[in-house]
Amino acid sequence: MKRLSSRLSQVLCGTGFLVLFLSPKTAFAAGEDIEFPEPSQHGWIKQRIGLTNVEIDYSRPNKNGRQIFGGLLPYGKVWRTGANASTKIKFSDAIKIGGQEVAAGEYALYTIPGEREWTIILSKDTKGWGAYEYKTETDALRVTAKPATLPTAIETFTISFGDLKDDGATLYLEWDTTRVAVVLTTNAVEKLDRKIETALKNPGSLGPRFYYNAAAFYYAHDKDLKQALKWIDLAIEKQPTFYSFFYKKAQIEAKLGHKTEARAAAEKSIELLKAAPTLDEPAVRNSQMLIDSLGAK
Amino acid sequence: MKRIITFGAALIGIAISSTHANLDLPDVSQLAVNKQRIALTDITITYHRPLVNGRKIWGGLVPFGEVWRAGANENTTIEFSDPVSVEGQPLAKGTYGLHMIPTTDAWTVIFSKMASAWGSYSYSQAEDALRVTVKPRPNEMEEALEYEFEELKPNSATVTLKWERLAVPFKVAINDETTVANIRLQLRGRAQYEWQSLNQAAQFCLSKSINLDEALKWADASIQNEERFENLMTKADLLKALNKPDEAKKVREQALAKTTPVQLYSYGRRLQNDKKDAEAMEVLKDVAKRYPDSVYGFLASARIKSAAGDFAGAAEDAKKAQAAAPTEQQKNNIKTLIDRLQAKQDINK
Repeated sequence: MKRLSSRLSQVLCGTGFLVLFLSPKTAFAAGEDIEFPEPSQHGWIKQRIGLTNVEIDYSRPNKNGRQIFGGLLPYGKVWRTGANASTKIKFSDAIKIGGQEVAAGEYALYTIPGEREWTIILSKDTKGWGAYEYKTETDALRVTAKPATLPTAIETFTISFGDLKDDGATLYLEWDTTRVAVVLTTNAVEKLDRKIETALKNPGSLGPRFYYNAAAFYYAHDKDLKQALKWIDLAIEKQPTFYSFFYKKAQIEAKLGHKTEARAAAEKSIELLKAAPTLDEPAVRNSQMLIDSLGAK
Repeated sequence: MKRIITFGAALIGIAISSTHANLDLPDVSQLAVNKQRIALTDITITYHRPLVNGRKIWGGLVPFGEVWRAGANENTTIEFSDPVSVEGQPLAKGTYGLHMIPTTDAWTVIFSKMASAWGSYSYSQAEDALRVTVKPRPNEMEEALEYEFEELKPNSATVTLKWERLAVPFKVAINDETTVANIRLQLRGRAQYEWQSLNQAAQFCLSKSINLDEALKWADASIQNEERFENLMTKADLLKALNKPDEAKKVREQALAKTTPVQLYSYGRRLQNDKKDAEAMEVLKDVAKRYPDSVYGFLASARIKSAAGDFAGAAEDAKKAQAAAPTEQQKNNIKTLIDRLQAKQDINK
């Protein structure tokens, strides 16, 4: 923030020229050490995707009755994808964006809005003020994305994550009536496959939780379900009092088409839940919903 | 300790992770944090995002009429770095457990002083800090539960919970006095020894028409640190707002005697920002008159014509400004204004 405001005062009080091009809302003179309310207010989001943390730091301008894309922001020109300082995106691990890999680290997120196609840019230079200093040499990645039209206008520029999966998510940029979606993919599934393989070489060190998680992972990703069943049975053998183990067993049996076994396991999970000191009602409902989905006996 | 899929598994994890090889899976309901600054106050929501997964959510997985953790795993928390008001009701600064009671009609949103519970199982109404009632609205399908900050205003925002086909909004507002108190505190630091922060603090109060007597003191202190067009003009405007037109006029003349083209132009732009359009136009006319053949004179003239709907004339002036601009970067930036004028957009908006 200090860097940001001192930079702004440099812009305003030094050459004094860029002030012409800032929107009237940013034409404040900022002091050195002190924070004032910003017209485009600061937002920060963090999302865990797979086993990777993704963080975004940006300033959020309002539409204020203006036409944004192809208006305030001309098509074909690099945009800071926010306001004030360039938008930052940070990954705790390597990740794929629109199918292309980038290393862990922090990047500036720029975009080039287009009527039919957008370009998403990750730049290694995170110190820029807006897009004024953006240089293509600092690109870490460039991918394209298709914009979609929203039925109602979004007043405040919003970056969000949706379509969460075990190993991926979608990053959404939304403003005015435009939405741009970019798919992020982690290698969590691949990593877990390798981890299971390695761990199984030394089964003596494996406890019930390992087998439970391995079974849950195979179940969630429609891998070898018979193997998943063996693991969940091993987990239950080592730890026969946890409802969640029986619930997972019920899910696996149901997916295998073993209705009788699925029902028995789900009933056992409810029995264990009801024996607990505080009743986990949503968990009971989940088990009951599973039983109901199996149809009549 | 990572969060595991279910409560039972979490307990096992605690018990055995130190002795056995483990296998951390991605959470079924992934962790998310959404933080937003409104004025000078930060609001932080920390939550887990369960998926619809083909299930009936409202009145199904989440029953009507019961307290719900409004997320997954631990209770959702919401933190305010200053006192705020929620749906018009005051709430002290701090971290709260966020719970909701869904119904088919109005929902209850609960801010609990207990912020570190697992879900809503141990929720107790005795620990409530605030309850408000809000109306949900239909929304497009959201597979993963989400909190968003929408409709950002200078001193308010709407926090919206979105899941399945429902959105549940509640409004959080920051009192201007809270923001002034925040600025006052910051002015006790090194900022009091230079002109900008004091001047900006005075301008902030002026733009909100609050705390004007103290703002005048800040403007005077800024002038004492370094007498400039900017802080003299702030003082003149404050005196005017305080119904002292004669003193205001005197200080304004003092300011104008010191001005440069960019300072006067920037002042006009700030008036536009404060929605004082008529005054802003007067100042821009003055810029155009005083500095007719300079970049700023042309730009001021372009803005005056743009405001009057004369986009062709405004574009001509902007082109003259572009020709007079000394660097390529500046020429490029003026091009943005020319492009907008050629698309018949008012560049004052």
